[in-house]
Amino acid sequence: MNKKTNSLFIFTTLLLISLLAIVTVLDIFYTTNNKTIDIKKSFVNIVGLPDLAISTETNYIRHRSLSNISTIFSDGPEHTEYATASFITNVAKISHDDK
Amino acid sequence: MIKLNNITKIYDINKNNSITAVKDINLHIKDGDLIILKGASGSGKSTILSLIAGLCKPTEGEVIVDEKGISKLPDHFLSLYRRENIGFVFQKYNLIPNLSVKDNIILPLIPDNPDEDILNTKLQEVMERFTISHKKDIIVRNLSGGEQQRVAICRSMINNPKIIIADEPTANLDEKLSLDFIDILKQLKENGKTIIIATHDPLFFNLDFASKTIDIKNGKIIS
Amino acid sequence: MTINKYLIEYSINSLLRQKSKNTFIIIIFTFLIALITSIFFISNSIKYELNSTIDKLPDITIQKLHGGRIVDIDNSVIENIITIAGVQSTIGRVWGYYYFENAGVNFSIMGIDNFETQYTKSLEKVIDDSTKTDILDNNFMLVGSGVKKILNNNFFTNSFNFISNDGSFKKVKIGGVFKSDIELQSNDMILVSKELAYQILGVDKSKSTDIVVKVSNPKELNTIVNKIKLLYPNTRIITNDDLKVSYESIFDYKSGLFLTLFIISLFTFFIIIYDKTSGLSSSEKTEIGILKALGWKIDDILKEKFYEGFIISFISYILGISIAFIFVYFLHAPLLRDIFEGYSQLKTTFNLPFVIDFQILTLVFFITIPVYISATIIPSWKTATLDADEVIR
Repeated sequence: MNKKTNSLFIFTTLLLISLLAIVTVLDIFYTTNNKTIDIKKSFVNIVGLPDLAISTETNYIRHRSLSNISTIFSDGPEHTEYATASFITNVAKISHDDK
Repeated sequence: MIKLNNITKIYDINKNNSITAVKDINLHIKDGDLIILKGASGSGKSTILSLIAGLCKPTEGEVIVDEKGISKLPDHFLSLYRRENIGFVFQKYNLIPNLSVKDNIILPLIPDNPDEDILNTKLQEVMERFTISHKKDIIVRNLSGGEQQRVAICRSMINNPKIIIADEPTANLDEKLSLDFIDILKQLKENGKTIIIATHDPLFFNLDFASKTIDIKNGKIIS
Repeated sequence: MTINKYLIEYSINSLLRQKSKNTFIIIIFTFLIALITSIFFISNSIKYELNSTIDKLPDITIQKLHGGRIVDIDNSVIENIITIAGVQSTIGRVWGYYYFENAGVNFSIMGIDNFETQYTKSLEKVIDDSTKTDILDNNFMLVGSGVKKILNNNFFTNSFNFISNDGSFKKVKIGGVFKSDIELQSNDMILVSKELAYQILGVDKSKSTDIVVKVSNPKELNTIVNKIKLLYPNTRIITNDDLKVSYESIFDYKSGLFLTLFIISLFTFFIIIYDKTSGLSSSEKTEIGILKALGWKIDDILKEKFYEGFIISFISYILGISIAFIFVYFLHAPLLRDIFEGYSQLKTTFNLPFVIDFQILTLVFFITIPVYISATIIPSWKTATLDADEVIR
C-alpha cells in the first residue's frame, strides 16, 4: 500500500539533497574569498574606473556609469543603437547631469 | 428507517427544458427491507435512488433517514452521511478505469486516513467475500463485466454501510451472473442490510425474499 | 495535522494517468524556472561583483561637456578645485580607448601617475607573478588577460606597437599580465605611465580626460559638488552615490532582456494555466462526481488536487533552480552570456562569483507554485460544489 507515495518522498528527498550538495560545493569553491576581494579592491583603487569588462562593444557600454543617454547619441542625433549589450543594460542615471 | 415525504424533483428548473423526474412521492422503507423499484427507463427510479443516497436534493419535500432529515444537510455532512451509511452500486459501475481493483475498492476509506492494518483487514475481508482477491492488482479496465461488478460491490461494502443501493445492477450481465448477483443480495439481506434496487430486469420481479416491489411510472408510484 | 498518504497515492495515480501530458508540463515548467532563475543569478552576481569594490572608486568624477560630447578638461580646473574646503585631493586622469584594427577590438587605456613607484608599491599585488618581465624604464605596460590573448593571436608576444596620435609607432613592452582573479575588472585594460598615455591618446599636456576628487568628509559631498557645479556649469559631475545607483539599476525591469524573457516566460506560463482553468474534461468531471458519491467531501477533493498541483510545481521548481545553479556557476551560462557580452570581440570567461540570494529563490517560488496550484484547484472546485448526481449523469 502507498508504494508510490513512498517512492515520491524518496525521490523528492534525493532532489533536495542534490540541490543542497550543489549549493554547498558552490559555496565552498566558487565564493570569492577575502584574498581575492583584496586584490580586486587594490586594482579598482589604482585604476579608478567603474564597471566590468563583460562587454566592450562600445564606449557607453564598457564604462556605462560614466556616460548617460546623451553619450549614446553623441556621434549624431540620427545615431541608432547598434550595440546588442545595450538591450540588456540600462542607461546610467547621473543625478547632477543636465537632462 | 427511510422516509420520503412528498418528494418532487425537477431537473434544470430554471431552464426552458426542465424535466419533472418524480412528483409527490411518498415512501416508507423499514430497516432490513429489500425493495425493488420497477419501471421503464426514464420512469424516475434512478432519481429516487439518488435522493435516498443524498446524491441530489429534492425540489420539494424531505428525505428522512433514521429520524434525520438529509435533504437540507450541507455538503460536509451529506458526504459524511453517504460515507458512513450508503453503499451505491451504479449502473455503469463508475469505477476509476486506470486504478487497480484494490485501489478502487478502498476509495471510500481514503478521506478517513485509516491505519494501514485496519484498511488491509477490511480490504482482504471484502475481497474474499466476493471472490475477487486473486485479481487485486489488476487494472479494472482489463476485467470482465462480471468482475467489474464484483469490484463495484466490494467498494460499496467496504465501509459496512447499513443501506445498499443498486441501480440496474444486472443491465450488463448475462443470466448466470445475474443469478449470482441475486444470491449476493440474499446474503446481504440475511445480514440485516436495507437494500433498494432499481431495475427492469424480470429476474427480480418474483423474488421470494423481496419485501416489496414498487411500480414507478412517469415519476409517480403506481402500486 | 497528519498527512493522508492514501490521498497522495491517489494524486500520484491521477498524475500518472496522463503521463505524457504531465511530463511535458514538468519539462516546460522546469525550463521556464531555470531560465528566469539563471537571468536573476547572472545579474545578481554581476551586481555583487560591482558592489564589492565600489567604495574604492573616486568620490567625485568631473567630466567636461561641449555640445553634448565629453571633451578634455583643462588642468587649471584642478588647481581651483583643490582650494574648495573639504577637498582632500584632486587628480587629473588620462584615459581612453584604443582601437586595435587588426583584431577589431577596443582596449581601455589608463595612464597612471608615478607609474614605477606605484608598480612596486601596489601594482605588484595584482600582477600574475609568472608573467612579470624586467622593467628597465617607464616604457612598459600592464595588460589584462584578454588583451594578452588578443596580442598573442596577432603575433605581439612581448611588446606592442601603438599608433600614436601623430601617426607614428610607439613600441611598448609588456611588463606583466593581471591576475585571473580580477579578470572581470581588467580583461580589456592596459595600464601605462601618464606620459605614455598622453602620447598614445593624443591628449594635450595641459589637459586631462577627467578629474577625480577625494573628499575628507563624505557628508560634505553634496555641498562640494554644488560648489564645483557653480564654478564650472559646463561639467558633468558623477559622485560615488551615482555609481551605486547606476550599479543597482543596471539590470532593472525596463531593460530589454528582462522585459523580453520575462514576458515570454509569463506568456508561456499563462497558456498552461489557461489550458487548465478552461475546464475539466468530462472524464475528470465524472471522476469528481464518483468520489463525491462515495463520500468524499469537497475538502478532500480539493486536497487531492492540491497535492497534484504541488507535486508537479515543486519538482519543477527544485529541478529548475538546480539546473540554473549548474548552468550559471559551473558551466558559465553558455548561450546567455553571449547576450550579456554582445558583439564584444574581447570576451571574458564569465567566471561569476557565487551569490545565494534567498529573495530571488522566494520570488521565483511564489510566482510559479501558488499560481499553478490555483489553476489546478479552481476548475475542480467548480465541479466539486455541484450535486454528485448532476456531475455523474
